Amino acid sequence: MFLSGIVQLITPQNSAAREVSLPSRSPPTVKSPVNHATRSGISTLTTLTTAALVAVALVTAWHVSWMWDARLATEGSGSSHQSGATSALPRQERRDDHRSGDRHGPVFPIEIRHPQGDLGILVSHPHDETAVRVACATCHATRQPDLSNRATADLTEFHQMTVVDHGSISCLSCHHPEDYGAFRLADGQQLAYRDVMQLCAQCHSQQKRDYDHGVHGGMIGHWDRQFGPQYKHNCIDCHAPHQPKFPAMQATFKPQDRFLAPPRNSRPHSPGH
Amino acid sequence: MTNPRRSEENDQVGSEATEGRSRSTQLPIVNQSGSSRRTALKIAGAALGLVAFGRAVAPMWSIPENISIAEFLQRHYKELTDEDKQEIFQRLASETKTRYGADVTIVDHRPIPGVKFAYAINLSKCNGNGKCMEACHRENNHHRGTNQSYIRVLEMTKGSLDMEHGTSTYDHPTPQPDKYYMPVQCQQCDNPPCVTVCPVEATWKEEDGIVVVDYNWCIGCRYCEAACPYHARRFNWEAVEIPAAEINPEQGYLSNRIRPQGTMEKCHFCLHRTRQGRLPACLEACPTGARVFGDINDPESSINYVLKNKRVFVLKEELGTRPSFFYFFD
Repeated sequence: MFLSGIVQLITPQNSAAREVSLPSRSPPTVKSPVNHATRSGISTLTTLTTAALVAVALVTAWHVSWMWDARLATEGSGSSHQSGATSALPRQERRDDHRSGDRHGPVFPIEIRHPQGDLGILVSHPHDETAVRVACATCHATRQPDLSNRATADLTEFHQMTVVDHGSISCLSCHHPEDYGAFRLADGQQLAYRDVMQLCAQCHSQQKRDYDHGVHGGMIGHWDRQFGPQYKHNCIDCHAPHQPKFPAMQATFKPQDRFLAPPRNSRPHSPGH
Repeated sequence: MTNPRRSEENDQVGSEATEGRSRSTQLPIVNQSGSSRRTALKIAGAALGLVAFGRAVAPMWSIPENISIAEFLQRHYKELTDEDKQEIFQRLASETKTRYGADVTIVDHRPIPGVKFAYAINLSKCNGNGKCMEACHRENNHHRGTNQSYIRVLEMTKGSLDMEHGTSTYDHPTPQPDKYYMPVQCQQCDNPPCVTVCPVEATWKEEDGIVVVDYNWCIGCRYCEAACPYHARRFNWEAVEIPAAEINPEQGYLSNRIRPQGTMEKCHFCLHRTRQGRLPACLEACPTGARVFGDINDPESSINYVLKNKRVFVLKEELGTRPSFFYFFD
């Protein structure tokens, strides 16, 4: 038979032994136990070998077919780094159009959040202690400025409690003595409240330069303004003008690293453990 | 085995061989049961082997003529069409729906032609508040049980740049006067050791510089975790658990889709955002403005401003990993 022929080809020793032994019916000799054991061992070995070969073949076949199936099912690895596949994203295609045409094509603006309303101060309401914003001009429109006052300690009423920790500048370095709703630049020009960044930039030109290049103050929105606008804060959104030093903070979020943190006792999320 | 006749016959092997007689003896009916079982086993085994072999080589029958070996092998690493991809993304999305109860969309964001991303952190500004870690945690659908994040903010002693002596477990108001704070995440190396060691090519570097992981292709051997000198890779020890309401539904196949248990993950510069022109989540969350992100191929970009005007260094420069991630001081 063809199949058994193959098996015999695979196991020549055993088949030879059988061909020799089968016709014989001679009486046992002293060597026979050894031969018996040997032949039995060979027979077992053959069966095991065949089984192993079959197993290997089966595993190989399964593995190969699985690999192919898996390759087909897992496109990200196979395709994405070998091809410049076009995206399914309409936005990205739009961007590609931009790219192919003009690298510096139309862009969305950088939108800076300017301070709104009138320059003012937060005071506690005399009746219910709530914080109320009062425009500077509310009082200062009717009062004559005293140019000799340099700091809050010089004042006899109002603002004594205001802590100013901003170098050695005086109140009127920034506040305009004739219009307390505005600022005064170093050259005496009046500056609207909403343009406060220009005031700060007189001294902090390095920060302003960084800011203009997107390297100070942070931002949200788009790094590439061909896709959308960029939103930025102004100076006094982050820095209190009278105490501009950035405040201390307390980190509240801590990842738990497996080898740094003590082991968690309850592991509700890991049913496998 | 227990057949007496069989053992008797077996016993004769030796003597017969030595004496060389009885060739003409009539064949006895011996070993009948044993032989038939053995034969049957052999036949069965051979048949199984043939079937398996046939199955293994079956694709060879479909080889067209006049095809080169390279072409032939290529066929089996099939590049998926967009339709194939959409099918897979929909399957993954429906699995997310089943397991987590959230409606998500999964997209394979491709690099923007001509763009290479780079990141920089101002160590003069960073005060260790850790908002970036939290933003990463939320944006990238990390496991809620471990507060996982791609970023670690290390508290470092002033005067040292050795990140191995930094600690991420500090618990006090920051900044401390004798410390500075250094966030460490994937440096998106141009010569990435993690990619080199991956035995299954489940991680690679894309054209815009981002080193990505195919979570479905990763086998979780963690070689890359060991190879990364920045401790930037994370292993999903546990199955990810997130309340449905907290799942970020805008997901990328190679970025923030929910990772299967037992796979590696890492910072991908929020590619599902940045490849659409948006800023990474960690940058938007930073209250100190210490983070700078942009296209290093654009000479006008803010990242190039940093490289040209600040005192810049890279972590563990001596290793030759060539990071796309920079640290600078004002």
